[in-house]
Amino acid sequence: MSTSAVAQLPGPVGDPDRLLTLARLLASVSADAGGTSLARTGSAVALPASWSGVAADAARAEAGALAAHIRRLADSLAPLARILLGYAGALTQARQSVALLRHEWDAADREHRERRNRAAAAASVDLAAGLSDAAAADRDWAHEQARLLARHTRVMSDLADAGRHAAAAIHVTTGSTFGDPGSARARLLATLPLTEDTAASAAATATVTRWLQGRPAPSWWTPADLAGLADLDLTDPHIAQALLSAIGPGGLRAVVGGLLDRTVGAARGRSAATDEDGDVRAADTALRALATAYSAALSCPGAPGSAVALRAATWRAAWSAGVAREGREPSGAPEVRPLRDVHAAAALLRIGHEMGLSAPADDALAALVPAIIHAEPLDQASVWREDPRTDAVAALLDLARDRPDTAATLLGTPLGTYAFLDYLVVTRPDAVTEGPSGSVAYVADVMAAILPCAPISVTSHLLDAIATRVGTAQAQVGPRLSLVDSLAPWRALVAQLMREHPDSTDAALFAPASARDLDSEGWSATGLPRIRLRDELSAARLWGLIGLPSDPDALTREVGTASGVEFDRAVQALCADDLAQALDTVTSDPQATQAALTRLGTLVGFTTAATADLLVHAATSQDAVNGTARKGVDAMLDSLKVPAGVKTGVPSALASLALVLVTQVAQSRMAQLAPTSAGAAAQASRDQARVELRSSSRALVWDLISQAGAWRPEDNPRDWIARHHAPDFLDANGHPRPWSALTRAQQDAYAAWSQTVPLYATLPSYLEQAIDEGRRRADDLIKT
Amino acid sequence: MFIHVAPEDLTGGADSLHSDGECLRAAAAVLRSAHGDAVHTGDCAALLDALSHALETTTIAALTLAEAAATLSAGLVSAASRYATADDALALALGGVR
Repeated sequence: MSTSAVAQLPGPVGDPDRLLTLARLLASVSADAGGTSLARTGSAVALPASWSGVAADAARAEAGALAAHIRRLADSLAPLARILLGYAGALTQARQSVALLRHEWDAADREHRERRNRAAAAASVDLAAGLSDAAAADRDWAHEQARLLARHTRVMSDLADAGRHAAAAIHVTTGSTFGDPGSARARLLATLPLTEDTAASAAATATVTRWLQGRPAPSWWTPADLAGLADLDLTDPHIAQALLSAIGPGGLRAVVGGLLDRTVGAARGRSAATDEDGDVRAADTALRALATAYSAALSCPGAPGSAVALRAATWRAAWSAGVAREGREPSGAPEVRPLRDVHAAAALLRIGHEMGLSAPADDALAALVPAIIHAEPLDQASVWREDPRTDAVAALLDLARDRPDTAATLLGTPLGTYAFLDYLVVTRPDAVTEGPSGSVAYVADVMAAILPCAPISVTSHLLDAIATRVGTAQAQVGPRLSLVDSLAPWRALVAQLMREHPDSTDAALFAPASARDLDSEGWSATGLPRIRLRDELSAARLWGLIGLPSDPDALTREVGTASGVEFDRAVQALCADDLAQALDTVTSDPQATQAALTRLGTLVGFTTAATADLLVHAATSQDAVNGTARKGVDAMLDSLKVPAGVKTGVPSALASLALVLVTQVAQSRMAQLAPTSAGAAAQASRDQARVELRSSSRALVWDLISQAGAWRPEDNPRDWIARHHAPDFLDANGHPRPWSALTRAQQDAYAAWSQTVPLYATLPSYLEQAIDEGRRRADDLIKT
Repeated sequence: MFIHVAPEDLTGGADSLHSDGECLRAAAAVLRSAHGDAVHTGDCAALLDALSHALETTTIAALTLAEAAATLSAGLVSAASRYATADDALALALGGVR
C-alpha cells in the first residue's frame, strides 16, 4: 500500500480487538453479578422463614432492595457489551472499507501513471495527441481521487455515526439505572438504609482517625489541638459519635476537666489577666465544641423504629455502658482536679442547654442517673461541689423542665421504679446538703415547674415520695428545724395539689383499693386527671405537711400565715362536694345529707388529726423540755387562725371547726406526752374539748341547714320570733344568720327556735360521730 | 425475643451474602481495569466519554452493592452470635455495627 494512499485515506483510530476484549469483560462481569445468590433469587441469603420481628423485616427489606440493584447492574452491563460489540463490528468494517479504498487508490494511481507513460511515448510521434492523452489521464485521475475521498469520507462518517449511536445507547443503558457516577453511590445508599448509616459511620470514623493522627492522647491535647476541633463538623451525629468513640469516656472527662479548670475563674466572675483571656476564650470555645459533639452524638436521629434510630440507640447504650464501666475504675488521667464522668456530662449538658442545642435522648440522660445517685453523696468533699457547671442534678432537671416525656423518663428511672424521684425527695436531703442544687427548695421549685406538663403519674409518685419523706423525717430524732426546713419547701406545692385534687384524699380514705396504683390513669369528677395516693398513711402525712409552718419561731409575730391559709383552702376544697350535696339534699333527702355529712366529718376528722400530729411532732422533736414544746405547739396553732379572707357562713364554720379539731388533737397529744396535771384537770380539759367540738360541728351543720332553709312552713322562724317576741336572728331572706355572726341573745333565740325543727337536732350528731371516726383512723395510723 | 431460628441458619445467610459481596468486589475490580483498557481503544470521543462514564458509574455501583452485602452479612453474623438474647434483632438492624 502506497504512502500516498495511507496519507490520503487515513484509517479509523481504534482497535477492534481491544473493544472485543472489553465487551467480553463486561459480559463476564454481567454474568458474575447476575450469578450472585441475591440476583438469582431476589433474597438468596436464605433467611429462615421462621425468623420474624423488626430485624427480620429490616434484613429482608434491605436484601430485597440490594437484590434489585444487583440485577439492574447486571442487566445494564449486558447491553453495554452488545453495544461495544456492535461498534467493534462497525470499526472493523470501516477499517476494511478504508483498506479497499486504498487498494483502489493505488490501482488508479498506477493506471494514471501508465497512461501518462503511454501519452509521453505517443507525444514523440504525435505531440498534440500525446498532450491530449496526458491531459485526459490527469483529468481521470483527479476525478478518481475525488470519488475515493468522498467514499472514504462516507465510511468515516458512518463510523462516527455508529460511535455516536453507541454512546447514546450506553447513556440510555446506564443512565436510567445509576445516573451520574458521583451520585450513584448516594442514590443506592438512599434505598439501603442499613448500609447508608453504616457507610456514613465508617466515613466519619475515617475522617476522625485522620484528624487524630499526629495528635497526643486527649488528656495532653494542646490549645492548638482543641482549636482543631473546628475542622470537624461536630453537628454531624456520625462525626460526633466517631470522635467520642475515639477518645472514650475517660478522654472526654480529661479534656472537659482541663477546660473547666482553665475557665473556672471566668465562671466565677473573676477578672483574668489579659494574657489569660485568650486562653479562657479558647477553652470556652472548645467546651462549646465538645458540648455540640455530645449533643449530636447522643441525639435521637431518624424516625422512631428506623434503622438509623436503632443504630443511634445502640451507640448511646454502648457509650453509656462505657461511661458506667469507666466510672467504676480509678482514673489514671493526669487531671488537674479529679472529675467524674457525670460532672463532665453535666458540664456539657448545661453548656449545650445554654447554646440551645437539642437535648440528648432520654435514654442517655437516664443512664446518668445511677452514677449521680452513687456519686453525689460521695462528692460532698469534692472541689467541684460548688461549681454549678458540674451540677448533674441541676443539669438533668433543667432539661426536664419543659419536656414532659423527658421528665417522666428521668424521674421514673430506672424502668418506672421512680428511684431517681425517691432519691431527690426522700434520701437526698439527708445525704446532700452542699452544692447549687443541694437545697430541698431548689428541687421543690423545679418539680413545681415540671408537674403541670408531666404525666399525672409523676405527680402521684412525687406525692408518694414526699409522704415517705415526711415519714422519714418523723422517724429521725433531730432538730425540729431540720424537719421543718426539709419539708416546708414542699408545703405550698402539696397544698395546691390537694386543693386541686380533693378526690385523691377522698379515694385514699373511702376507696383505697382503686387509689393505690399510682400509675393508673383516670379522671376525677372535677375533670382533672386523677392523682393517686398510695394509702391512708400517705394522705395523713401529706395533710400534716400542709399544716406545718415554714418558720415556727416567727409565727407568734404574725397571725394567719401562709400555712394557715393553705390548710384552710385545702380543707374547703376537700369538703366542697360533700357540703354541696348536703345543701342540695337537706330539704328533700335527709338520708343523702346524712351520708354527705358522714363523709365530710370523716375527712375533716382525719385530716385535722393528721395535721395536729405532725405539728406536735415538729414541736417536740428537738426539745426535751415540755414547756418549750408546748409553746411551740401554741405558736403553730396560732398560724392556723381562720383566715380573714374567709367569709362568714358555712366556709367560716368549716374553717373554725377544722381549727378546733387541730387544736384539740394537738393539745390532747401534748397532754399525753407531757401531763401537767392529773385527774380532774385532765377530765375537765377533755370535757371542755367535747363541748367545743359539739359547738363547732353544730355551728357548721346549723349554718348549712339555715342556708338551705330546710324547715316546714309551720316552723317558719319569723313567725316564731313574732310569737315569742324573741331577738331577731334572721337575715333579709328570712333565714337564720350564721351562728358566728349572732349575739349571745340571738344565739339563745336561734337555739330555742331550732328545737322545733327536727333536722337541727339530729344532723349535728352524724357529723360529730363521723369526725370521731376520722380522728380514730388517723390515730390508728399513728399508733402503728 | 424476635429470633426463633438456629444461629447457623443466620450464619448461612451471612456466608451467602459475603460471597455475593466478594463477587461484586471482583466485578468492580474488572470494571476498573476495563476502564483503563477503554482509554486505549481510542474510538470516537462521544463513545469514549459515554463508556468512561458508564464504567465509572457501574464500578462505584458494584462497590457500593458489595459494601451493602458486607453490611448485611455482618449484621447476620452479629445476630447469630447473640442468638436468643433480647436485642439480637437490634444488632442486626444496625447492620452489624457492634
